[in-house]
Amino acid sequence: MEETIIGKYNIIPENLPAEGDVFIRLKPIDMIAYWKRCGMLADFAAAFYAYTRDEPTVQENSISTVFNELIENATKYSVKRGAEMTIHMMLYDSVLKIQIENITTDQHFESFKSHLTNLLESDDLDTMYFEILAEKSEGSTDSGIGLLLLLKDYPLDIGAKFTKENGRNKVTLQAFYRLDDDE
Amino acid sequence: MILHAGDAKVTYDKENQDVKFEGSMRLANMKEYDQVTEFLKENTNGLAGKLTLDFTELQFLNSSGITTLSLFILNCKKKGDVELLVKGSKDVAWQQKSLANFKKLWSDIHLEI
Repeated sequence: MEETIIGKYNIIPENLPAEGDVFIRLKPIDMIAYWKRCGMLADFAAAFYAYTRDEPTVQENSISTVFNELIENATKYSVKRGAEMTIHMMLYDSVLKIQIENITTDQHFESFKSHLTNLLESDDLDTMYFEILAEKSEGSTDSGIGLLLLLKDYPLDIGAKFTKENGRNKVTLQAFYRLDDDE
Repeated sequence: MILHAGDAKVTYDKENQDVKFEGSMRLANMKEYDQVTEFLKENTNGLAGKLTLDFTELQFLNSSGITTLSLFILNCKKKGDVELLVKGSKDVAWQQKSLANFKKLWSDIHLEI
């Protein structure tokens, strides 16, 4: 087994009890076949966590936006068949942890590792945003700015574990959303 | 002129040179956003003066949508024919957080949130 950890990963001890512990297991093909399911899951997660907050409407929109980007990314880059994707959400006081685990192709495994490293090491995400846009043309199929926008515009920490085991490439992405910084 | 794109509606009001976005726009990828790019191009081609992009009623826009609109704005900047007004709502979190990115692309944009 080969393991690489990038960014802020497991920054909350795993044995700490969480509120609102939600676990979802699904098949990427079911999301690809009906894309709207990404948004539906995001809206569910947002409604589930936001209604207890002081500004539920504003936070519902934020949580849904963050969750949607994470689930869209995982769906797009998952092995489509014969693999599952899991989502684990836990609320620790004012920090919402969203963990998404999926199995990817060799090619995406390496390119995502490199992309995430670049994002987390950058001290100027605005410039990176402009540079990525400048490389885009109207024929581009992938925007490539989802995680960048989340890191740039939302109070969020991100980390990931990349595991190669038995010929499978597993990506475990963790996002820690500081809800109090968003009110 | 009206375009239905997923759960979103895009309306172009020719008289006021105003593009209004409503609903939730979370299409799967950039390719699916081609319809939005084409709609904007067809309706604003050769336009001069003020052009409004009104997002106040758009509840969600994913990163592929933000990229698509960013490319449209960069195209407007390159052509230099229109004066862009971008309208957002402070009650919709994604607009409060991300619409400012458009002004970073083109400082001449008037941003109203």
